Amino acid sequence: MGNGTQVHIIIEPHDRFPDLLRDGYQITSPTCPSYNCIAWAADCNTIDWWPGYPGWPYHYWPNGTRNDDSEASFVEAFATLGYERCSDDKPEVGYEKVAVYAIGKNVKHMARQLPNGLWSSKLGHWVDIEHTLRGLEGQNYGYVIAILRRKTPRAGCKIS
Amino acid sequence: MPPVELRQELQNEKTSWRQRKGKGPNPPSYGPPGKENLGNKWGKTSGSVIAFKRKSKHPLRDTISETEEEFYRLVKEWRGATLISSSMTEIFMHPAYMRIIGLGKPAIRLLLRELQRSPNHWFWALHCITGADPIKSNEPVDFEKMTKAWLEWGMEHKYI
Repeated sequence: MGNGTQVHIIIEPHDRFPDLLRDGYQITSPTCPSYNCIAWAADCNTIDWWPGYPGWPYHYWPNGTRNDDSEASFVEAFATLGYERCSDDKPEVGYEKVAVYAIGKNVKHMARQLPNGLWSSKLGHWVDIEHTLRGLEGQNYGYVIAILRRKTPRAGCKIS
Repeated sequence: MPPVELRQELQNEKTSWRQRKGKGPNPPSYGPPGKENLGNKWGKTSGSVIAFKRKSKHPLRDTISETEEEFYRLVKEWRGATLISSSMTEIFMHPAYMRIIGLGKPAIRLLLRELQRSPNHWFWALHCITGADPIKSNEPVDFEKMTKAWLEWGMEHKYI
C-alpha cells in the first residue's frame, strides 16, 4: 500500500466482541475519533478522557484525582461528576449508572446505562453501540468490576 | 507514483543537486567511478549512463516512496491494533505509532495529510517530530480545535 491509499477493513463490532451476537446489539453512531469510551460514559463527546499528567493537552482527566488506570482512579474521577459506587446494575428511577470494565487491575472500558436498561458504549475511537452489560465482556475489555450511580439529570461535559 | 507536490519536490531536488554539482543539462551519472568515458563503443554516452537511465531512480525518490509506503503500513497496523482501545497510553505507546514518530521529518507532510483527510490522534506524533506546539495550551483542548491548530500550522509552514 502506498501513495496515501486508505484501505478500509470491513469489520463489525461482533468480530471483536463475539458475545454481542449472543445478546444482540445495535450500532448507534459512525466512527468518530473525537472522544473515547470514558468520555462517552461521562457524557462528553469533544475530548478523550484518560488519566494523564497536569499540563498534558491531548486528553482530559479531572484535576486532583489519581492518574493511573486503576479502578480507584476511575472511581475518583467519576466522583467529581457525582457518581458513587453501587451494587446493582439494574436501572433505577432517578439514577443513572455507569459500568467499569477491567482486565485484572487495569481499567479498559466504561459504559453508561440507558433508561431502557441497555448500555451505551463507545468502542475506543470507533463506533457507539447499544448492548447488554455482558455483551462486551471477554478478552478485550475484561469483566465488569464496578457499577457507579448518580442522581439524574446529567451535568454534561464541562470541557471546552 | 507520488502525488503532484511530491513529484514537484523531487524535481526541485534533482535540479538543485545538479546545480550544486555544477552539472549541465545532462543527468548525473551514478555509474562506477572511472567508467564515464568508455570510448566510442557506446557512442558519446557511456554504458554506465545508459544503465543509470534504465535502472536507477533519484535517491530522494526512493527515500520518499519507501517512507510513504512504510508510513501507510504503520498507520494501518496502528489503526487495526488500537481500534477498540480507549487507553491513550496504549494508543500513543503502540510500537507502530512510535515507529511513525521514528520516521522523523519525512513523516510530517504525511501526518498532516492524514490528519486532513481522516482526522485521528496524530497530534502527539507531530509534536514529537517537529517540537512545535500550535495548541499552545496547558489545559485539555477538544479534538476539533487540536486538528484545526495543527492544520493551520502545516499550512503556515508550507507542509500542506
